[in-house]
Amino acid sequence: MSLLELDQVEKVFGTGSQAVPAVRGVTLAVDRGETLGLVGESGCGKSTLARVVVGLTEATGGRIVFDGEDVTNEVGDRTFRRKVQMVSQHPGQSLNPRLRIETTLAEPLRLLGVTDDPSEIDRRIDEMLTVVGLNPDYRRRRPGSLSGGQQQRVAIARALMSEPELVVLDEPTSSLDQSIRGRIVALLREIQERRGVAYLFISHDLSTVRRIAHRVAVMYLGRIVEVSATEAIFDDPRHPYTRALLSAVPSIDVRARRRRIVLPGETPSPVSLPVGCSFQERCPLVHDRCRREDPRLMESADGHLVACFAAVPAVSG
Amino acid sequence: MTSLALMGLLPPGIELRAGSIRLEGRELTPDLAEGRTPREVTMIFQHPRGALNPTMRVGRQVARVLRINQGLGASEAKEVAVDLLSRVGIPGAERVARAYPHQLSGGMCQRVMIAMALGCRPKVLIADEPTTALDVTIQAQIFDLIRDLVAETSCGVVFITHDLAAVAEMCDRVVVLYGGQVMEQASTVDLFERPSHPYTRYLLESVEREVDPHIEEKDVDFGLPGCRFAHRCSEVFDRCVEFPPQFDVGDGHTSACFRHAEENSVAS
Amino acid sequence: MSQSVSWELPSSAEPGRLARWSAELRKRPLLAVGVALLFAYLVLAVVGPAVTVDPLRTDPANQLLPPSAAHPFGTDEFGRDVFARAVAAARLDLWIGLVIAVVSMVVGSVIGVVAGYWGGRVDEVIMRLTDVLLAFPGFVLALILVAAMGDSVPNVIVAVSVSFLPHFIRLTRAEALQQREMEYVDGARLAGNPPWRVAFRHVMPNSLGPAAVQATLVAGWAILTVAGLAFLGVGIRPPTPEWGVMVAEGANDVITGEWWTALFPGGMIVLAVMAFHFVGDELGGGRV
Repeated sequence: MSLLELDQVEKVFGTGSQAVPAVRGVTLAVDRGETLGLVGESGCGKSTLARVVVGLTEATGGRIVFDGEDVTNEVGDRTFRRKVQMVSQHPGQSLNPRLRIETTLAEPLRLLGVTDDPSEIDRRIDEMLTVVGLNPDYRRRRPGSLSGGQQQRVAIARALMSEPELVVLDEPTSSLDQSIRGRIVALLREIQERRGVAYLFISHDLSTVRRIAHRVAVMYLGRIVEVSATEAIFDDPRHPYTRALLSAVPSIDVRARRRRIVLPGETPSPVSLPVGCSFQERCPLVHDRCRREDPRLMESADGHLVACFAAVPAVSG
Repeated sequence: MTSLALMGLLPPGIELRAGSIRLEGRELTPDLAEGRTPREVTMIFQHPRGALNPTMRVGRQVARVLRINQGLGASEAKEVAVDLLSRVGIPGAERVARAYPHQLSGGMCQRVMIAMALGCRPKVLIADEPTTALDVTIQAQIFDLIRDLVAETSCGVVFITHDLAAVAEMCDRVVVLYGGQVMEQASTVDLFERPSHPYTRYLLESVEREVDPHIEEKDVDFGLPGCRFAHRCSEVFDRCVEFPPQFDVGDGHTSACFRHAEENSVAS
Repeated sequence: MSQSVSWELPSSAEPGRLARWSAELRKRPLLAVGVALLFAYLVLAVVGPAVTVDPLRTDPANQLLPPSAAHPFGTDEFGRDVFARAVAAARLDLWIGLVIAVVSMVVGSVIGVVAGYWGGRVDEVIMRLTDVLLAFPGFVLALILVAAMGDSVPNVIVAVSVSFLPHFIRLTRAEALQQREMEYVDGARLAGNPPWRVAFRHVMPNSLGPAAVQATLVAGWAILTVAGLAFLGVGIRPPTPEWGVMVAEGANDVITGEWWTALFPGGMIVLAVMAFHFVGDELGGGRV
């Protein structure tokens, strides 16, 4: 049984002709102790999905099942918050600038009902700062006197305080320098190995995802278009969008100036989606069926899920 | 910052103290020091939408550049502007020219910026993190565009980025800067295959290899004498408190590290 | 250039708070003048009444004496020492001004944060009520309120505070609207903060900056308003030593040549308002 299951989750902002469907029928599962990478470009709905999962935004459709229980209407509750936490993109903004680190870290313990005992809280703060690679002396500081990497370590510490089973990481390394990025990823992996926490790792940075994720889901315009094991996604991408995305990433290998697949145009607005596949206007493999029907995620024999008529050998029925 | 100096756009309070900046042998330093931007050098920025005037239609902004730099009349400038916009790969340039920056995507705004830059007929284009704020598929488009335009107009590009992969993809030669000092310079292939400065090696390793998550990151310390990288360097030794000169390590590849002097003296 | 590298960072040692303040004051003379004036007023208000004569003691033998060593600001038509009265008034006026600034800032900011953070209906109702208050000129509003509630110092404080409320409500609301979108608000929610705690523990402290600056200006305006009301005979009445009361009493003397009874208290008002303005403007424009 998966730790988190999303079943046809939808999120539409606004109503009527102004309605923006940010997440359109996403079905996904995250297992205990695993890292699921969620990849997509800006505006594809991945951050909205993250907010839906942690209960900062209410879904407008579908079901959220956590640990076998339907929690669709309880994602904002205290018990759920204890188990599912989040780290967001801008470490400088995600910490209240006026509070000392220790105050920020004590909040989840007190408010989520973990413990009220001051000496226990103290102990846990020191312990957690050590876990995220910070000197416990930093507890008296305020976020403004820390570097971006240190702030992100504090944000990770805060998310871990209530000993959650799932942490949603929304672009946790995107605003950090390359050298710091690597350390944060290594830190997250170390924490996962020791504590068995599962990650939903959201990023547009494919190389980072490759280093941390066990499985990867690719999102385009509010839909999941491909899901598979990380190696399978990177070595054998099947959806034309995934292929283009991967080939667009510059490589550090100077000798291999490969031929890239450059997609024409830009992601269309989710307000006026075409009938059929939402990728049709940019797709090199588009054919008639894509303009009539919207492909669902289809599973091939090896467990690789792809939402593309051209990528999956036509199966009868 | 160095690029802002090149453009004569240094913020108040910061001055060009010493050294010289030359373009095709012509001395530019005095003009730059007084804040006059040389016409042959132009720049595109990381946040293109912020660099465009939000209250003016983009077509007019491009046209204005043409009128100032090429002395075109109003109607002619308008035509050339639309022409430039389509040259940078904007579909429906006529229509886009009438749009305001906030109506365009980041990628489109960057194309507009590039069109404006082209309107200056630059000899040098400074691209300061031009794709950092863009998605990878759009980044690929912009890279292709910059490459095509360079081939077409044979202008030089100073491509400023923190993304080593983008360097590998786009550049012929690389200068590695840290804390305002040049650490290493070489041809791109040479730099990636034979990184000589400890800082460059550290950068390349941080992309490829696993790093210890418990080592804390330190910021650049501008107060220290000598090599700026010294306080983070794993190969630091007593000479690093002096300012390191560039050592030639072969094939026009230079590196500012006293370790090279050590090696040479050992070798000879 | 990478965004994390900032150029102008030659300072290696962190200077102490005191050193930073004195450096700031030397760079900004207006701020220094304002702070010095306020400090002078403070000293006057605290120790003044202890060293001057009784501000209420009348002396028919010494009416309307011009300024002299014995009476630095002269005496008024009842023979009271104008300097003693002006100093005693400093205590009352500064006190009232500061209380009004604090009361209207605290109440206004709480209302503003509620409006800005919750938005929707709540915001709509609060803003319309604010519009009603704003429909009256502040001074007139204060005048009406005091007239309705009756003359007394607490009533003046309440009335003038209410007339300044809209400033604070609007300022804090605008700030809270921005702060609400910050990621730390999500962080606070995830850490288990209930909505009221997010609003008052997290959003409000971060929304007070502009209001705090405004409060400095309001302290000055409040003194002016209180004195103005007293001048019109509303709120604080003679013989209480209060600058507005003194100016009103001395107004007739100016015509007959005894300028000192009105001019000195008037000058005290002007200087006090200026002092608060200098400080407020400089704090608002700078980044202390």
